[in-house]
Amino acid sequence: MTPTAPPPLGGPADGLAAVVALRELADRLEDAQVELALREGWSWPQVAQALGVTRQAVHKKHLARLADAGIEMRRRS
Amino acid sequence: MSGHQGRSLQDRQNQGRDLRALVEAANDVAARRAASALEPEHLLIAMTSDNRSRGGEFLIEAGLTAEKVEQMLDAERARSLGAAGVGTFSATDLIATPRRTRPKIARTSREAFDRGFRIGGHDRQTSTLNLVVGILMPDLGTVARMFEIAGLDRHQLLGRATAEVAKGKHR
Repeated sequence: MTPTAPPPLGGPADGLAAVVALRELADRLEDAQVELALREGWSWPQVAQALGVTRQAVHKKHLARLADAGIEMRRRS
Repeated sequence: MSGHQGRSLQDRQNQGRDLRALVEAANDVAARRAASALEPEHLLIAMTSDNRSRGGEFLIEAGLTAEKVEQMLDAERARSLGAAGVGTFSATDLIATPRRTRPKIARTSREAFDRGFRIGGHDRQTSTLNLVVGILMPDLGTVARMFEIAGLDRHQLLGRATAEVAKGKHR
């Protein structure tokens, strides 16, 4: 017997969709705020420290797209 | 003779190009939205951005333009964030240079391709219209929620798309 699908809205469906939406929002917000910080003169190590990740991690995730954006980047704090 | 053998090589090559172009366009949508993976909703937005593919033509005729689908996705995200007590951010807080890395194809998208492929029976060519069926099928998840929130009848659209595939009206 195939179980009936629960409704796509309300109850746990809303809670689970919130998880998806929060992940997406966190990604979008990180992209935007890392870019803003670098444009305002933050260094990569400062951005990494504020995010609680390594400089290598933040570099790997954002360097390629931001190098093309013409942002003047400080290497050291 | 099978449907597969009956269709010209040119038709099948055109379909392959349709799908490759669609995935490229959907990658751009996913990158613009800073998504880490290419999800079915990105495929829908890309497909409705032009009516040159069979799937795009079908959806646009049903009133689903890219702008409309994107609004439906934004409405779904706003409701979902609201469920977690998070208000929507202003667009300026989220302005960012798009990512250059290619988003990975999400499992949900792979499954949409698989479902579309399966309804094609023994015919191994999957058209964009088959993909529409594969995307509309799940009763849960982002796409189902987008339709429900917009008050659109997903089942009715799915039925029509399935009937079109069955008629073999592929480009």
